[in-house]
Amino acid sequence: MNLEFEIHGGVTVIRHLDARMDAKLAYEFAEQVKQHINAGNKSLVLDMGEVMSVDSSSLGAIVGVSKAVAPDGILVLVSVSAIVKDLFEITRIDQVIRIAETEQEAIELVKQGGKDSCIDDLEVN
Amino acid sequence: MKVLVVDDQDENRIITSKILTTLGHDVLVAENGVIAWQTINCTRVDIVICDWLMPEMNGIELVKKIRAGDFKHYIYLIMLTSLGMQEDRIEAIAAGADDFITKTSNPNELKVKLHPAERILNLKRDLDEQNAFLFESRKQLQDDLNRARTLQTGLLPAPIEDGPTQVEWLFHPATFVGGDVFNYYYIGSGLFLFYLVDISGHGVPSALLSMSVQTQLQAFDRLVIELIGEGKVCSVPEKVCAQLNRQMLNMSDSHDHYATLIYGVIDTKERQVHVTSAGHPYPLHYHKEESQMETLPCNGFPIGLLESATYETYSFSYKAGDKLFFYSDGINEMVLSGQKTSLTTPALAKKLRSICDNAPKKIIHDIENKWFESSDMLAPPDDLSLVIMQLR
Repeated sequence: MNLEFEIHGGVTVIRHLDARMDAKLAYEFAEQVKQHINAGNKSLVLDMGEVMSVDSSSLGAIVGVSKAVAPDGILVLVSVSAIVKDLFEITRIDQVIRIAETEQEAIELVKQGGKDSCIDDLEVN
Repeated sequence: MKVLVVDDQDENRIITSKILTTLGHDVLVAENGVIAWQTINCTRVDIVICDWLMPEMNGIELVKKIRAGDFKHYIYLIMLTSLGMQEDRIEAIAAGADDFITKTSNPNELKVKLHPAERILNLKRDLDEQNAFLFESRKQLQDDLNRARTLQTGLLPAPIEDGPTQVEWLFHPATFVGGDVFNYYYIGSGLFLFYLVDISGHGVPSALLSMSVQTQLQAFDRLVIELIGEGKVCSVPEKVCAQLNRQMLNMSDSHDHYATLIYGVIDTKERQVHVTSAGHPYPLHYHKEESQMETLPCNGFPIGLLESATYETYSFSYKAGDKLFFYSDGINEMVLSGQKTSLTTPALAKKLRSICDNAPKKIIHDIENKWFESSDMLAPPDDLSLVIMQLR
């Protein structure tokens, strides 16, 4: 896995996740992103445009990253495919992690610091 | 080293043997290939030094025969050649010889040539020992995992063929053991409790955690009986999920594993099902009278992932003859024979719909034998379980 970390004015856009995110890739993903977070980058946009499927371990890894940046920062997902959205709906992860439609929107949400949604301050319908 | 000298000339044989004995080797002799072959087959020989031209079986034939033979150890082959016979040497290498000595060479050459022979034979012996050790270790591990698989499958509840809820199931771990586990049993008068757990990931770590979750779930029976006594059957699933979520988050370190769970109680007298989904794939409800397959709209947070997760029960009624399908997402990752895309829930619902009027046992049989390539079933990408309940 060769993730790309692109930093724009304090917001990191993470690109190049693998198409089929499985248990092994989930571990690599978590390790690489955690290094980046430990370097002080807690405002993250995860570009999921290339991801076709997410297994349970990868879902856990994404939630793990979201928890790791809170409460100072936020993780926002963008370009989430329909099949992955279904998984987020079944597990209600879409209620704790923001999903943006465009990268611009995602960056804006991250800059706001995710005031209206945060993994530690969950509001359930 | 045990060295076999093969030469039809008595004099050559004696000289070579003497040199070798002086060097401390254990020497055997043979006057042609046939006798040499017999010797090699009844004694462990490390090195063979053989002449080229001999009656009965010549040197090159012997070399070929040894290389084609089924020996447990490596035999180092040195051929005696005449000076300058380049083509002979190529032929000997092709046949399987390791080295050559010219017939007119002095004792020192023979001595020097035996060094690489010993080195290679020692390396080969070490390698064989290591391989044997690895083979044995792997076999032990595999035997252990096979027993664990038998045990894990053996701990699952038996199918139920009679009564108000008939149950059949399918269980295929991705590796020897899996993170899926399910159970069902009557807990009160006419109340049938069931759950299906899927631990994230698969393999041994997930299997261990699934056993722990199973134990924790069984320990909730008291809580369940209390709630039933208070007339709160419908709150059983949500309360159990919330409690399990707290307990899993309190585990010292579950190494990023979490669980998805479907937990429910069937009230067979009222013909009502109360179920909570904790991130588990949508269950399916087959309405027999209407011949319709309904995807039950219950979702929820997985267990052991979020402190703030809350759970609620989804309740629905059924009629006699209806069926319920609960499954782990492993089935969604499977690809049907002759298809390219994996089996999404709508596709699964459609596919099940076509065989739904059969008895649960027949449905499971069809899935196992007709849906997927048999090789897929042996090694699914993820743990796969499916529980079918026929309600009366």
